[in-house]
Amino acid sequence: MPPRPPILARALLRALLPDDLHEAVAGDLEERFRDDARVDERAARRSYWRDVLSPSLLELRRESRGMPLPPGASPRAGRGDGTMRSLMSDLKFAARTLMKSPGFTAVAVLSLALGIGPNTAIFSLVNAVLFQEWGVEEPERLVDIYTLTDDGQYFYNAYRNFELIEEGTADVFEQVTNHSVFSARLEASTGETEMVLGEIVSGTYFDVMGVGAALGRTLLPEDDAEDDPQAVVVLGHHYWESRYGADPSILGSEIRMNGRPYTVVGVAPETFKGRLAPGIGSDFWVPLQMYHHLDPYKLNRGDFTISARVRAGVPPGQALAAVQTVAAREDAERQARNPDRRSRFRLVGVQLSEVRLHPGADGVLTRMAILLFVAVGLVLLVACVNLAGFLLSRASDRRKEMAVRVAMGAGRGAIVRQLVVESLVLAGLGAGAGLALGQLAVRALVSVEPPLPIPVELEVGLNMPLMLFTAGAAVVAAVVFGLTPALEATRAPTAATLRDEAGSSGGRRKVGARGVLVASQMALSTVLLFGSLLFVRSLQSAMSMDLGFATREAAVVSIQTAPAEFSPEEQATFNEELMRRIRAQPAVQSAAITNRMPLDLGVNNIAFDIPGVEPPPNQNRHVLETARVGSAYFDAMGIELLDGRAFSDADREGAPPVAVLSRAAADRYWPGESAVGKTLLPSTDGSDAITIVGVVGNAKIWSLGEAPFPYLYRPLAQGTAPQTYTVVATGNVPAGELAGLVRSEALAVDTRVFMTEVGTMDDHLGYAYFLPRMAAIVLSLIGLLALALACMGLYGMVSYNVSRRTREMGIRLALGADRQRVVTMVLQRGVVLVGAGAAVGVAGSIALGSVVGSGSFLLGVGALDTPSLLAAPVVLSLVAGLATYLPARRASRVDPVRALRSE
Amino acid sequence: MAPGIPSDFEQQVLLAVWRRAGDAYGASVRDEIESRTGRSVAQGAVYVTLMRLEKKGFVRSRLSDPTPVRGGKAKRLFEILPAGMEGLRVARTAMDRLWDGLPSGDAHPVEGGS
Repeated sequence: MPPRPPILARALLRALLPDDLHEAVAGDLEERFRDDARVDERAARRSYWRDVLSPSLLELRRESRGMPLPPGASPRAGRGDGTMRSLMSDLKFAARTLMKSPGFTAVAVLSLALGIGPNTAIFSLVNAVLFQEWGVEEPERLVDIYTLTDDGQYFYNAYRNFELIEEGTADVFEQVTNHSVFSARLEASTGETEMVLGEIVSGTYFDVMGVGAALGRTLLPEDDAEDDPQAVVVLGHHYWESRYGADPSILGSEIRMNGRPYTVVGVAPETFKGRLAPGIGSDFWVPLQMYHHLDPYKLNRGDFTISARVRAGVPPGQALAAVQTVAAREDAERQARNPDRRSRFRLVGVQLSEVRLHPGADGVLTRMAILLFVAVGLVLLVACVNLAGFLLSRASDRRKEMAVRVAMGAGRGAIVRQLVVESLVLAGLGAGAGLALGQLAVRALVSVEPPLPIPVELEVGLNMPLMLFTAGAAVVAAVVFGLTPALEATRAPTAATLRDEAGSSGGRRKVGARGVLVASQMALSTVLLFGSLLFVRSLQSAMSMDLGFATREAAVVSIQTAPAEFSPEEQATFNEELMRRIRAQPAVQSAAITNRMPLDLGVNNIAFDIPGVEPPPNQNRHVLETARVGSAYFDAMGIELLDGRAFSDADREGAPPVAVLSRAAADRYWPGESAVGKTLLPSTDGSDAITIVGVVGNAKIWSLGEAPFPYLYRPLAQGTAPQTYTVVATGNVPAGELAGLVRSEALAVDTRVFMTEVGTMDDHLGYAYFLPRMAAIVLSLIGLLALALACMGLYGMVSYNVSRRTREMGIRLALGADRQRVVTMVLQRGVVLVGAGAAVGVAGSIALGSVVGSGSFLLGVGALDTPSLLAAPVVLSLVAGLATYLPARRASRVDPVRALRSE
Repeated sequence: MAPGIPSDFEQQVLLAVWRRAGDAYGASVRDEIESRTGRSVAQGAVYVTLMRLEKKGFVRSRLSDPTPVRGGKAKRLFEILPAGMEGLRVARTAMDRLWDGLPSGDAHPVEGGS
């Protein structure tokens, strides 16, 4: 079998040449190939490729158009569709045209990339947070059950609710599980200790989730037997991979959790990351009944989530109704036992398939996602308007070429198709570049670790939805914004174009389309710039906000002891000794302990009666959030004492119970009078009445944007010594050094303690400032991007417009017009467009502002913040003004004679 | 060049067609030019020139029968026409006139320094 030329090259030749030519040329080339192949086949192949790829073949293709077939030739049906052939040729033509003007192509692709990039980044992020799979079986048959508070919030459950559900819903649920987040101190066999985050779960957990083990087994009901719980643990897949190198011999080995050995019985599959939150994977699961070792107070914490699997054949709606029925029954029973009670007991079920993060948080997250999408969507729009402008200008430049083609018989459809293909190619390149850019951006975003004590890992890699989204964005950009210029270009009256009379002032129509583009640029960019200014100012406001406590240099160190190793007495002794040693340090000016820092996570409540003050209508008793603090706490934290006194060393165990209220709490119960001396009654029999001894200023407890927070402080020494608490210390050395000092003192007292965080007040506040900071950074970047794109677009379009009018300007100058007047005349048109765009932009900004304002994203600035509202259009008008003025001035400087001759 | 006078490469192609009379087609014309001038030539360029020459009326073409040597493909055979012969003659005369009086081209006209 004689050798044949490379099949790919042959196919290319086939696609390139019309049938009548193809046969002869292909035959010639094959003949040459055979001759060459006798000597050196590889050289022959190379030579064949060279001939096929030679530009002269394209030239041949053009030459052969319209040629009559030679005698003897019979028109034969070509292989493949004619449309396919035309598309191929359009593609090649587009590629060559774009390569001929590399500058334009680069700018257009860049513009698109800058528009598509942010979209893919945000899409990746939102996809990772809001649309990740939980990895459970049939999420629509899985129901999470929450307690509904009196103000309609979805809250966690008390432990007992689990029993209620289990007993009362056996007909709709096949299995029920109780689970909660849990952090533990894990000691690896190497001796290294670290805090890990996982879940403490009842024995049916994995059954309910429908998840099997990847290695070994999952937890079983037998492990969670109330009378004989097993010290076993299942590891998270990622944790197993990163800490143990995916070593299967981990099975059966022991790891120490909170000081006690637990046997590893299994590893979860990679697809199941637990039920904490998207991006936050569980590192382990332990049986709930091991609480007495891990956290004796766990059952009182009321932070359980109940999950249940609906029985086959039962509609989910029926199951949800059953949950409510159980709650109603319990509520009625409690009412019967205590007719005076005022709060209601309500449970609500939610299908897992309806939940993203948490029913309470989903709304906010979704709104944030929408906001981000709108922002980057606008950026894409700006980029597309840019692209349309470029293409329009280019189309005008090529109108002569188009006219010639039309005159030669090319159908308008064919030309339009070719131009659309050209913009599709641009869009494809832009999409590719944008995807790469977006990946860089999102990885940079995700690498900014939120200052949480646990790692958040979001899966933001390339995936099918992302690619589809990007492709979709690119196609829309190409078709929507490529079509207008394409249609414009073919609309020019042909004969006039050929004679160059479709002159320098363009047709009325073309300026119209371009004018709309310029105005839209202005409008879109104004809205975007306004948005970023808004968030920047919000951040500014947040940074200068008074938090109610000192944010100066202070060390913040979180210490944890293990209940298995410290009895309550040992705990109290440890705390006292630690504080004594720290305060004895010359570098330390003040130091204190608390079990909950301001702007931290975690909540403790206390319920009480107040003689003479009625609780709110829907509550049985008064409730306040509370923290336990050591003496000198307010001093160390810089919280202002407004009335009465702070705690002293006298306020210890055995002494009368005392408390200090925040201003907001004091005003709530005793407006207008002093709260000092008043009493609170935690027990109904009044045996442990708490006396208010002082009132302090309000401190931010949960978030920067909160209203003044009613809060109760109680002395650390008057309660059970906490196992996890934070030491705050100020001194005359840098905070970092102080933190190290506190740490070494703690270890000096007892080496068994564990520091979960060793840092400064800045580190601690990083969490609270994280969101406003990120929002400001992201949105400023978006705003800057829009500004850059707008500058590119505006300058390009306007200077093109002006250059088109060079001839007109030359005529006027030649006829004696004043240069300044000519420039002004050109500017006028620009001013009108820019002004119109700015006006629309301001209107859009106001609309955006009211949407953003209602979403409580902003701190300390109104949504219709006047400085931002004014600054955006002003800045852009200046840019636009410059963009219009410079080219106009340059054009007016040109020698009128040259201007007249130019075209 | 005045209309009617073939360009340099066109002349080469015409001469090759003339030489290969009866068997002048893309590949053979190319071979002829390459072997006689010592320069390599793209097939596409040969064909483009043949097309142009045909448009100008200097050559004409017809399809031969298919041959197995070429994978079953027919050859497009070219034949020089009187107009083509005339074009060659005119071109040659023009060149002769330009050469007239000059040495054969071995000696360099400007020699020595300065």
